[in-house]
Amino acid sequence: MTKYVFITGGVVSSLGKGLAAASLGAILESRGLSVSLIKVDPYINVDPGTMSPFQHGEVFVTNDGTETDLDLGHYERFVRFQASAKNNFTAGRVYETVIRNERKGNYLGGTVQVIPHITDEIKRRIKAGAKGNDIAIVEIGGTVGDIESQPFIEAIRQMMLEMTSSSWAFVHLTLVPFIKASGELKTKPTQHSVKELRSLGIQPNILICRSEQELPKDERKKIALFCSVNPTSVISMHDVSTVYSIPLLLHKQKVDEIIINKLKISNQEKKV
Amino acid sequence: MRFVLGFSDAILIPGGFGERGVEGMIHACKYARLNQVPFFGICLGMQMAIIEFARDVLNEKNQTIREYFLNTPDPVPQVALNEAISFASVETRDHDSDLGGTMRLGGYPCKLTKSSSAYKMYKQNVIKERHRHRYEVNPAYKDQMVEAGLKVAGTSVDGKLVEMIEIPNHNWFLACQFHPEFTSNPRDGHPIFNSFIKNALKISK
Repeated sequence: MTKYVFITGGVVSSLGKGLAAASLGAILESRGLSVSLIKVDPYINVDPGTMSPFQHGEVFVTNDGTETDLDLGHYERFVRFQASAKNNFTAGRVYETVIRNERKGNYLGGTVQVIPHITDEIKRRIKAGAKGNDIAIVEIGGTVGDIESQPFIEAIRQMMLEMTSSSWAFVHLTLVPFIKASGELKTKPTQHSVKELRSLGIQPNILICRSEQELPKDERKKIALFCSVNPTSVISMHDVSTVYSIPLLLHKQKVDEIIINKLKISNQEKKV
Repeated sequence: MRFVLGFSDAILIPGGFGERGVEGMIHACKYARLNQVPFFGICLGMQMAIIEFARDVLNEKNQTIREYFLNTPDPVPQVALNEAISFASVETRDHDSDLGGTMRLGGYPCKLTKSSSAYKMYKQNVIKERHRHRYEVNPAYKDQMVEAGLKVAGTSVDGKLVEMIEIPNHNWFLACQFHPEFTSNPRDGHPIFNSFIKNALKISK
């Protein structure tokens, strides 16, 4: 059965969630696991094909001719896998399907609602994209707390309830800003975004912290204490000169091992 | 042109939409073609190279881009670009046509011409590359352009659609309708990009 790694983001967008997901995919793949990556976008556009690259970056085209989010480009360039229409869907696509089903009478006269109809469609699509792989990395676009992303967070919360605890891991990406004037790293935004995520019913297992410089031990401890995670599961993803060094940066902090232990996958041969 | 582009070791025109900057790109194509500057055109970049060639070599002064015409009250009758062809079936576009999900999209096979430099790069008869575009080179102009010296380096398997062009007797002048960047990655690189950069480096020395 496929196991899931859900990746959410907090504080601000453009933190590099897609790169974190792709890097994670790369190091898990190098352990001999088959990996699928799925990007879920909470915006209403049916696909990103009509979006301006100035606002949204590259529109990535998959082999089967789907116009997808730029993160799919990171996935295919970091991981040896070929994405298809199943690996990216938007809120617009989900609503389109549900509304079409409703017009066909598929809901047998029931009232169509966000829960369960929209969330069920989200879950169906995530499972379809994950099928046949050891691990599916599911990246939820946007930031926790956005109106658009709520049905998606709810859907993955339900997936968590439907499976055993060794079938999923939650990774949350946050920002730890450096305040120049006082020369301090601030953990409060991270605390708040984890609080927001927990209020939606999800306790993260791993925190990946984006910062300019490497996160010192004291800050890691503090974040761990306030966010209820193990200090070794607070990972520093500081700025690096090239994005292609991120997989190694995460591997050095044993992210792959933490995930494999959480998912109770018998240790695979390491070729990282 | 030399004042603006004289510093460049190579010129790449990537994909794009609409009319903005089109005339400048056409000038850049001409500069690259006449001055032996390595030139790589992708998607819109190939259409610019074709239009430049039509204007300057075929002497079709009124050639410009079809997308541009849609917004012009008085379209010029000669067009270098065909009506949008979505996988070889002709589709007519107007102001009311949907923009979403109406392009030729995804991986399609492309047959390479044995004598082309593209063939030397890929070392394969048929390659598969990904597309994302609404417009094609007008097949009606193909023979004229080949006669005037343009080389068709790659076509769709049925031979109908022009997918890659080259200018022979040039340091490096290649353009493709597809987007090779989608299948380029840091582990494997990509045959065209590798060759283009190698050539640019050689010339810069």
